[in-house]
Amino acid sequence: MAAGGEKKEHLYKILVIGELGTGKTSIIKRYVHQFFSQHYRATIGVDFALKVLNWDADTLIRLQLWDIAGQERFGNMTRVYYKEAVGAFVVFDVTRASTFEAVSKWKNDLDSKVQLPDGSPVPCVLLANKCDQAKEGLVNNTAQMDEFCKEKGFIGWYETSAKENINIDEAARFLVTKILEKDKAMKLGDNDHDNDKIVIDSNRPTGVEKKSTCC
Amino acid sequence: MTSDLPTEFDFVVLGTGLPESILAAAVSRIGYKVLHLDRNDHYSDQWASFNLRAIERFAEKKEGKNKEEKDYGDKIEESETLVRIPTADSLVENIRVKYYIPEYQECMMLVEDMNKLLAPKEDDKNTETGNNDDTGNGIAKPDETQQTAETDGSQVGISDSHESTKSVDTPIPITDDNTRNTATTDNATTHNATTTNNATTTDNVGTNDTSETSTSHTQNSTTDGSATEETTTKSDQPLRKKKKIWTKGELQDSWRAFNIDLAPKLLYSSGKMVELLISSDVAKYCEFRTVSRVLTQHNQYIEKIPCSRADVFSSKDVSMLDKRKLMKFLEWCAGYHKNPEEYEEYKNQTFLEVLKSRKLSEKLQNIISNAIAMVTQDTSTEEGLKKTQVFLQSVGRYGNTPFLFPLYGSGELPQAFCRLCAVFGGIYCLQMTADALIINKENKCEAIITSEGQRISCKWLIMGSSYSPKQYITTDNKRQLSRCILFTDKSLLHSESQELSLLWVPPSDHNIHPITVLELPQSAMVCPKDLYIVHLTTEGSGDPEADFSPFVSQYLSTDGQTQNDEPTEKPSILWSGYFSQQVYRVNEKTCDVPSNIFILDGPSSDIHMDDPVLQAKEIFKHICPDEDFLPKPPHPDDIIYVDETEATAGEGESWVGEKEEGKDDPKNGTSQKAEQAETESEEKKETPQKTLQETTHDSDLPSDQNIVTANKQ
Ligand SMILES: Cc1cc2nc3c(=O)[nH]c(=O)nc-3n(C[C@@H](O)[C@H](O)[C@H](O)COP(=O)(O)OP(=O)(O)OC[C@H]3O[C@@H](n4cnc5c(N)ncnc54)[C@H](O)[C@@H]3O)c2cc1C
Ligand SMILES: Nc1nc2c(ncn2[C@@H]2O[C@H](COP(=O)(O)OP(=O)(O)OP(=O)(O)O)[C@@H](O)[C@H]2O)c(=O)[nH]1
Ligand SMILES: [Mg+2]
Repeated sequence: MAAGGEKKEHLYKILVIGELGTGKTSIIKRYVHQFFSQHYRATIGVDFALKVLNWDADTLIRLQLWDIAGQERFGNMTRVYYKEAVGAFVVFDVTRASTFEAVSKWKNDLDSKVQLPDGSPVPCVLLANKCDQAKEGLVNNTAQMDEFCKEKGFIGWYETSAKENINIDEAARFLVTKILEKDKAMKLGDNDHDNDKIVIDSNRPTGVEKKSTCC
Repeated sequence: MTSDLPTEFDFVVLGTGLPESILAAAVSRIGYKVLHLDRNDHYSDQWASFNLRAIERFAEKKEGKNKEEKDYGDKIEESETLVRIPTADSLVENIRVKYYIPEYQECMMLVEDMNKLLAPKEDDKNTETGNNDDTGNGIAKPDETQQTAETDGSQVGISDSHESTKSVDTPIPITDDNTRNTATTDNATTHNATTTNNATTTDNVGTNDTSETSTSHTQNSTTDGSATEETTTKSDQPLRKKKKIWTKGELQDSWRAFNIDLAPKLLYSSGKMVELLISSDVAKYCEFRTVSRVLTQHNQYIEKIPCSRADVFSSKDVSMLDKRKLMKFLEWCAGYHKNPEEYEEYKNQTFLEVLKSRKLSEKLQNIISNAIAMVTQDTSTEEGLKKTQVFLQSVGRYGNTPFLFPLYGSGELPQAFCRLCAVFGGIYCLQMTADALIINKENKCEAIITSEGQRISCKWLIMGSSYSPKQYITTDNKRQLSRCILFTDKSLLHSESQELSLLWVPPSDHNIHPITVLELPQSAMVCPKDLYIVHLTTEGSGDPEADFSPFVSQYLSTDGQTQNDEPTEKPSILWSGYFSQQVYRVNEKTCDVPSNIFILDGPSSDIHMDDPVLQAKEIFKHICPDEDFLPKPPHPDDIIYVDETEATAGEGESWVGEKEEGKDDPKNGTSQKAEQAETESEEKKETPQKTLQETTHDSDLPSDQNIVTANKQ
């Protein structure tokens, strides 16, 4: 994370969770790789997709979007998945009310497993995906959706379509704005300052002053 | 949800312990379809880390009600036989949890203030002795505290847990008794008034901010004011800070800060696990801290040993002559791997015999045998040399000692491998297991029946030993693992900074088997600050309290906390948890384990994690001799998605037709997806090597050529 010149760089981990087939992978692909497809194979071998944002003249933001991998389709996340996340999207499918019903479950799971360093919940945006299609259930009632979000602790919600590229950038921008606010307040992801923490890396066997081996 | 599970896998893995998870990741990595189950509601099985609430709840849990055996007659064919998986074995046996401190102290703030304000050591002493003479009103008078703790029923054991449940997982309201016990104090000079108030208004216990008002009461405010601050600020301040006095309530309030390992382990910096973490890139999921001190017991005292050459040479405890001898001996050990022939003559001697013949001082011998090689009387020269060697090779790689500890506990490591497995398409279900294995005529495992009654076929079955049908394994009651977990208020060996220490206690009259002691500070992310977690591990016979009592009584105080803050004072135990773990061995002699079933060991008494790595690798090589064991996956940054066909398809009309299919019926979507994953796996199997080379960081290609995932259909 070498900051070039004056430019500030931030690296944020964002989780994308929600029921099967709600469009999580599609949203990430659309946002990061600018394409959409209805034939996804499970993305194999990749932890996250990286989106680089030139936020403003002096801020560069790298977003790691962590998709749900095979394991998590049954809702059992490893800690590794949640670790150090600073934001999240919970996605449901507007054409299937059952995916909306699971939203609270996902939000609760999220809040129970990860918090910001100050103990507050990580900012989370609700995405009502596939809005290019006929909607089913509560999502038709904006006031009630707002109420729902307030009650469940979502910072906001968007109707999105990965297919038609609707509102995905907007939702991400909104989330990032909130993360930046939090970051200002509490220096997220700054634990790199802990020099004693060791990250194993083949190229970098660092640590201590003296590289002394016995003999 | 589980009906969504595909019915065929290459591998079914039971248990998310460390070797199972490594193996699951390894086979998933090369494209096999993996279903990984765990009967518990958490990852890592016997290697898990728990927060305080979880471990105490664990202690309450009654031994599994024996589920009645379901009839799976309709699920098996005539030629097949059903072998039952034992129902819920618990992870640990006879766990007993106990507090040594009062429930809640209304005068808690007062105590803290006293700590802050009361001051010079003489004063402290006065308080202390005052307590003793003074009709027992003292805050932390040992026996009284003890009493409080016990009468509150805070001792929890599996067998008699029911009475005490209430005290465990909900914060306990302050009872009158407690108030009386602790409220009136004789700490005179300060704020008696405040105390009494606190005692009656029970709600604000622990939340009062009294510091300001009280400072004015003390004579010593200047000097101690500064020392005071540290309780709340940086832990590694060089200034000596006052000891924190804990209550049960406070411990329980910080329940989330605890990550208490069932199987606390370290990594040799140059050991097998570290190598694997690097070569597989699983390292990116974990962070570590170096063990900062290796300790040894010498003439009943605990001492720090010099680990590196620099340490040895700067050590005042070791004479010049001894230093040379030590270096010479270690160099001799280090040369072992280069020309093992030269060591042939020592083959029939034990390592200790060889060591003795070198005429090193008794102190040095102690360091080598107990801190570096960690060997017993029976250890062969070869094994001793190997252990010495990995120690020496590891020193200096990441720190001044050879060891690393995983932040947030050893339980993180199995999860890191599970994540890798999942990223490569492995499917995980917790709280699910196999009820039975289906064995065919050729004595091969054909399928499992899940605890939800689904038949799932597999080519190989991997399981942790605790899942194994009893006929495949043996247990040896004389070789169980005895474990003790302690929360203490300071380190076994005083230091100005937070130390992460390893101590190995050789066998003696008191303990037949060596005891491994791991002392973890807050910076290991396993406990709140002002506290240490001490893990004791030994091979025992099922009575962990007895196994550890000589050590505990020698180095620790079970009398509750006192105000005394001398460096010589023993650490006080605030909380203890004792339990044992069964050690299983595969029963090759008496039983024909089907050749496609592999049973993996649970945690041993070893301090390191190299054996699980070796075991997983050995089985992997047996199953897929020509494949790489956990090669590095592509780095996400290096993957560029190319999607010529799809990009157009996405905009095109074909969409309309397609969407109908998957959308209304999630199940449909799933099975479709599973197939897709399968095709992908298939493809991947053919070219795993290639993908890797194209995508690793190490490749010379400029990153924009690292094109990996082309989504052509
Ligand atoms: C198992 C575990 C792994 C963690 N891994 C990391 C990490 O890799 N990097 C990092 O920066 N921080 C990690 N954290 C802590 C991080 O999430 C918190 O932001 C940080 O510790 C704040 O601590 P606190 O004392 O202020 O919060 P507290 O309110 O004391 O809570 C401590 C933290 O524990 C976590 N937690 C609580 N219960 C559970 C649970 N049942 N399962 C999982 N997590 C729980 C929450 O995230 C919470 O923030 C981890 C915490 C835990 C318990
Ligand atoms: N009409 C429409 N279809 C979409 C949209 N987003 C995704 N889909 C389709 O919904 C299906 C599921 O999308 P995915 O992105 O795979 O969903 P997911 O949440 O990643 O699914 P899992 O990984 O299985 O949990 C695919 O067929 C997509 O083409 C959208 O915005 N509109
Ligand atoms: Mg997906």
